[in-house]
Amino acid sequence: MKLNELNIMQASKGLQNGEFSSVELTRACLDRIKNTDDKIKAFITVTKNYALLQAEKADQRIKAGDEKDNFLLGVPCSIKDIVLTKNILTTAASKILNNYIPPYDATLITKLKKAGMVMLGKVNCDAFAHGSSTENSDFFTTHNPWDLKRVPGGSSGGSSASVVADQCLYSIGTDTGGSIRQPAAFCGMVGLKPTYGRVSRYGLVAMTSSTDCPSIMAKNVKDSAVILEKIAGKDKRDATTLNKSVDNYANLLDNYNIKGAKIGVPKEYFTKELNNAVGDSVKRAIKKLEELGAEIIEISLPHTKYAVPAYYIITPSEISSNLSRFDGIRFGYSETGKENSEAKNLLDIYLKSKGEGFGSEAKRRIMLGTYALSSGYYDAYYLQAQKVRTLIKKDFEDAFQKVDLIIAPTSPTVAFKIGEHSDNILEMYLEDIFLSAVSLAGLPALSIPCGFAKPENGDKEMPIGMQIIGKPFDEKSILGIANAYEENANWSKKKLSV
Amino acid sequence: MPENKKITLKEVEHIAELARIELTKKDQEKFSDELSGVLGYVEQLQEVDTKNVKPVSQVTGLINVVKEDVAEDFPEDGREIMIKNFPEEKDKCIKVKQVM
Repeated sequence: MKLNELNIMQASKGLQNGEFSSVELTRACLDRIKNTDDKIKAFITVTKNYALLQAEKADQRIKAGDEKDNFLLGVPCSIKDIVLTKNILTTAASKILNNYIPPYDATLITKLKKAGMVMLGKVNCDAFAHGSSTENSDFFTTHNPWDLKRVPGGSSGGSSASVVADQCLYSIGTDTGGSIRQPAAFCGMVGLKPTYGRVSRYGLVAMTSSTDCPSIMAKNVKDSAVILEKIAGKDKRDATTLNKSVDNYANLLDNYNIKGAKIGVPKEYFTKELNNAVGDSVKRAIKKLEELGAEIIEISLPHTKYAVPAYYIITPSEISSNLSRFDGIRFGYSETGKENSEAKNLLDIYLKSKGEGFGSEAKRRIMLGTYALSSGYYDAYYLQAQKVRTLIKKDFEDAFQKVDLIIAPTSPTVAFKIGEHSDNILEMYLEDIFLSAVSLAGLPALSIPCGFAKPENGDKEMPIGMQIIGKPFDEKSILGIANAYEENANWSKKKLSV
Repeated sequence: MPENKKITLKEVEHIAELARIELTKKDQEKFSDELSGVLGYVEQLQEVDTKNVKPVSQVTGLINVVKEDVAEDFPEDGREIMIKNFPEEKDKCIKVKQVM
């Protein structure tokens, strides 16, 4: 096995036992990036020298000893280009930030640096995380390593592609309305979106502040548990983080008892939109959990069908406010000082900087949000959507009176072809039908591989994902049951070739 | 309740002006169609009975989080990066076109 193909726990063991160094592990990843990324196109920026420097430092710390339980020390990762990294280009995959150098680190980066992370580079996504395929990146589309003609999912598609192609051992992305769970499903790996407020948002390029969650992309459940422990916790710089105890999630996995766990299966998530092969795989996985001792209970989440419409009012509304800061004045793409500029006054600078700097989807969402919040329409759109959101949240609260966890498909289909949905905005938005409700309710959820299927318009088997949804701040039960399933149905053993 | 109507070119122009985005004629036409489509789709929210339902204001139930009003030092190297990001700079200040 090549070093870059290891998972976090395997790599950490090898590093601590002196079988190989972090520099060697990092070089293996950099070589893999060099040999495969012209096809996959996961990385916007590869930080080769910086990575090797961090690896050297990690090797010194490993030699000094005393950090055997610090599993991330010296382990290489990729970071979605929407997370601010001090002094390293951070673009949010957008033209308007194509030259932006952050003056500070996101809190999660500060925490990972302390743990001894080795960052290989910044990976692609839909611009400002607006999308489900990376096709909205202002630079290029990332390709799914299982079938290069297909999308890796989105918005965190660079994260999912880089991990499943063994270019890195894990990745940090964000999930606002499914942007970790869906690409995790499309690429066949574990994607964990923590509870809203569990991980600090400080230093993310903000999209929808009320649902943005820094999230985890990993090769297996235990790895994602290890990462969560490192990045979770209250942060004085994000007032929405809560002072909840952060558990040693990886240790708790082994103590989890699936016997008697009550699992809810919502009937609204098994409708005609769901592809048969995907539905069958998820049902087989649920059967498996039943065999392992879980109790399966059919439940109803009656407001499910209103989640996507509510999401596509609330999200653009918050976007129209958050993206107003990109105005060509303080940083980023600007009309200011341009040769042959026709800008005569300050207003022209705004109009032209935004008009040329934003891509189509960002413009579309800003426009939609501006309209929904504008005088005369606020009550009918935004306020009504926030009320419906209360009902969606209450559906889950009622369900969690009866069950401990909820299981549903992550996406209605396997990864679609590049270009398949790009002409139809609504088709793309409906990619989120099984994802938006969880985001609006702020709940934790994890997507785990549960099978493979050949799509009707393709010749390669593509991964299928299953979503495990938990009560607020109960990531440990999600991880526990996911781990129990993974041990008994190891889909992640299937390997791809690029 | 908003009627299920088409967003006209004039409305698109008005929204773009509010959002301070310059749009080409082609973009205006595209957005007129697309925004109408999305607004038609979200119209189904109107059928939900939300009488006596409070809107979500904070999803995990936090209320009035405050912090001490004290200035924190920002590191000098960070300040230098910030200035380097300015599209136009004079004496470490941002240069902008006349405001008034």
